[in-house]
Amino acid sequence: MRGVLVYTPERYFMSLDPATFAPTLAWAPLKAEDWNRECARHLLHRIEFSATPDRVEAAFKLGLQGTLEQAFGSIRPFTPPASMADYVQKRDALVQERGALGPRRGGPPPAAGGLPPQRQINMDINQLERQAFLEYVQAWLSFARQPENSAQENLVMCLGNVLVVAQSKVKDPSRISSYNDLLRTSWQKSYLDMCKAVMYSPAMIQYLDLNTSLVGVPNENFARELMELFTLGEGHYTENDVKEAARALTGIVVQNEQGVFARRRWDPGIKTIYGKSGTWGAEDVVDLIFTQPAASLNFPKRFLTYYLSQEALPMPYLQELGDQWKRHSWRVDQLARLVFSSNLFYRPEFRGALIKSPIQYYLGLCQDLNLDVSPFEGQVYQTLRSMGQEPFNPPNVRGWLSGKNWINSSTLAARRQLVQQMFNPPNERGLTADLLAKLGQARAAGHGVLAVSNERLNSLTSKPDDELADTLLNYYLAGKTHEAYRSDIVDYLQNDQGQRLELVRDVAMALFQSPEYHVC
Amino acid sequence: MNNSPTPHLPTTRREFLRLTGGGLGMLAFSSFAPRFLTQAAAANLPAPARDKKILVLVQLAGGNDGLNTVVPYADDLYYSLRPKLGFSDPSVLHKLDDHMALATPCGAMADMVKEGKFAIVQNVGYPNPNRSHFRSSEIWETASDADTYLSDGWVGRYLDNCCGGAPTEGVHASEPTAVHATTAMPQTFFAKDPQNYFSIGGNARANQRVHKRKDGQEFKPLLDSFANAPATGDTGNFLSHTLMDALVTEKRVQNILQTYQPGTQYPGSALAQSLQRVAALVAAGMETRVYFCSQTGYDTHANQFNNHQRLLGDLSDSLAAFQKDLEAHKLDKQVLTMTFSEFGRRPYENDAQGTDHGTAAPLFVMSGALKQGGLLGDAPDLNIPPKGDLTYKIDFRQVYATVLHRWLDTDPSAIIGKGFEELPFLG
Repeated sequence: MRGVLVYTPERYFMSLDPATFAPTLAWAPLKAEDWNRECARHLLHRIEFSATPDRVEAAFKLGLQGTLEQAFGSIRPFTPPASMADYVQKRDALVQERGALGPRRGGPPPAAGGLPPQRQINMDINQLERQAFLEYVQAWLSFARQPENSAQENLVMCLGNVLVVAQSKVKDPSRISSYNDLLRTSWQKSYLDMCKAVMYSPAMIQYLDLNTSLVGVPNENFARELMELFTLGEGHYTENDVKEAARALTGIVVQNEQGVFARRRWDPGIKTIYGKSGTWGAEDVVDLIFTQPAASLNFPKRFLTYYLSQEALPMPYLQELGDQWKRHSWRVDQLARLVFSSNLFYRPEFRGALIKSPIQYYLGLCQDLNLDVSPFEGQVYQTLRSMGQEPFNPPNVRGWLSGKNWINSSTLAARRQLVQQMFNPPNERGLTADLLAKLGQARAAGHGVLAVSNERLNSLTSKPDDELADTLLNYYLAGKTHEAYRSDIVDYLQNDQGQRLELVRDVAMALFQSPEYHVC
Repeated sequence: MNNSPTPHLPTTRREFLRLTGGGLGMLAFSSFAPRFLTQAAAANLPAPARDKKILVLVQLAGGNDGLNTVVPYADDLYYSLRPKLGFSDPSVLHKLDDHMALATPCGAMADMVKEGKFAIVQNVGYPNPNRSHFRSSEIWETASDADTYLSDGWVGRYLDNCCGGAPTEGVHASEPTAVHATTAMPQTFFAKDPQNYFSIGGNARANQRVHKRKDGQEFKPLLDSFANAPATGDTGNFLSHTLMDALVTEKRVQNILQTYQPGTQYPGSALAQSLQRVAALVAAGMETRVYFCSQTGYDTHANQFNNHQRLLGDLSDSLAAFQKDLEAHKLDKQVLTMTFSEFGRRPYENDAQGTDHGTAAPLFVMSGALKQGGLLGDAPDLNIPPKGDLTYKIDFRQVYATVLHRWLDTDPSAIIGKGFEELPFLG
């Protein structure tokens, strides 16, 4: 609900005036003498999930370019959990078994009260898929939670929120895994090449129905989203461009888990796209798209929404960034370096003004509290779902509506509940044998810290009230004026009756549930 | 230690004014007062009328089997489609006319039909049906065509269109516009504008602990203070307001649910408990216009009969209890309850004594304010080829259009598009 007096429109972009702050200056690198700890904190908060003082200090000493080199200099491989290969093997065996049974009609009768064997196999496959997917999500979160991987994985999430696929439609988690890895291994390439690569990814082929698109009956789904969402944006193509591009994009199918071109399914006729006629094929469509000026603007715009601000920048700034990005052959990592080095990125009005996504909030909490990602994969998924973000499952091809859309009473309650869990260890006697075994395994591997212990809080309780307040605020929220929070905390800690540990826990919990902690 | 919730934050305007010692004049300068106060102060509005119409959606998740819910008992084809799964003895059914009957466990629904407060819209679906749970739910929840993808839900669009901007909500504007009794927010509620939603489902709320001071006074929960702290920038203000609203609403809702006296005994099921909570909030005069409850388990591929009958019995008894409760509170004419399910099931039973994902199915509408109860629309045509499916007669968006126009007093074309002929269950 919008109130009349409540939300004033963003004003600060009015201060971004090309006449006084030239776009070329805006995107020029920050001067070395302007780099300070506050800049380092801002950078880490945006490109990673948290900015603990030790990492801020390290980034400050390393300098801006050094920090960016560390974050975006090389690709860090992610190995899916062993359960993924296991799933593929079991599924293939089941598919084979189902094939051997022949068609269901006329097949062997089901046991009394049981399911026909084919149907039972389908259900088993669904079950395997679900479980493998949840374990994949858990493993990925654990990987992203390691601070050295955070910048890369945040970037992969940003890419995945533009080049969208969703597990709810794709189903097969090994396809989701391959797709995610495609994004992970190509962010140092040109965005143009990425667009070509996703066309041959089984997950994308299936998600946007390329596999059903063949000569005579082209399916426009991929062609439309490619132009509208992935590359150009609405208003920069015609309905006819979509229809013709869909013809050019026919012929892609999945064979042996690879996207391949099947010439006999392709429409070899003349297509006219953006006024140019030819016997275009799939790659030509992407090349033609990148002859359009909007192709240099749309992805940077989405990138800035993710990393800089929900509000769009005035066109001259976007245009200048697009021009520079084009000169870098549309390389994604170069766009990241351009933006994160720029004077504009460090303007005060952009600090602490983005709302963390549920995944960013969750991983940030894990890092700030030095906790491991929970080994209970179903619970983790449910937690993120109740906060409004199911990993690898954006609600539709537009990706998540981020920013203020993350926050409402129900998602805030879910965020608060998460904090509560993190300060209250699970009651192990209440765990099922299955979950206990998982916890045991995680502990054996050194990844079983799920909640803040009393011992850790005890290190704080001996501090005087004001020092304790400063310690917590500086560590977790520093960089802003927190006089109000500070006096509230000091006031809260006064007058206790030997329940200081409890009160300190309350203070910490309230801090992580506070409005300030939801922004980065 | 006292664990009972203490209303540290004001739950009413009067209480707020008493606690802060300020008047409306002070609110004009306050950047952090709850929204209901700033809005009321700004508009100087009187208390809102309490006769707003309320919509309660009940999702039958999984795809409800229409043919075993509203049974075409006089149609011979039914018995050949359902040799094992069908009702073989029509005398156990609740006859609606000389062709259709409600399933055995739906006695309470049948009674409500007789009393004119329960309508059955037959054979509801949409063109080019999709048989994926995910996709078909999305189609129903976003009110899209089968081949278009919309990012927001039809209720979300309604709220964006009708409840944004003007401070029509008066003193209780901090109350949620829509409430869901599910853990995750339903897609039906997805909206472009930030909406004030609240969940009464899932786990217990994250209560703030309350400790006592030396002087015996309770500590004011710290998060209340943080929510009240001056915020910077648009984002900061938004977060503080939302948190403040959430804390205020949470306490108000807790108080309401704890002290509610239902006008009837509800069944013990999850659905019934959700509906009882909805009744409590409606009876308390919450400004919420739309509620969303869900009953799961309708994906009956195997051994359907008993499971399905149990679900229908729960649905029937829960809806009837809800209606009776509303009547006891004289609210039954103010509330319209509507069920929906992502699809019906195949007319042909499968080899596992279940049914697979199908197309059209009946949906239910319940209210003391119905213009026409009982059966609406035509019974499904069962003369179908082997492995065939039902063909819908009424587009689900005709039902939405009726509800939007005749219940929520809004122009449906802005929400779901033009051209959906309305149905006569509402006047």
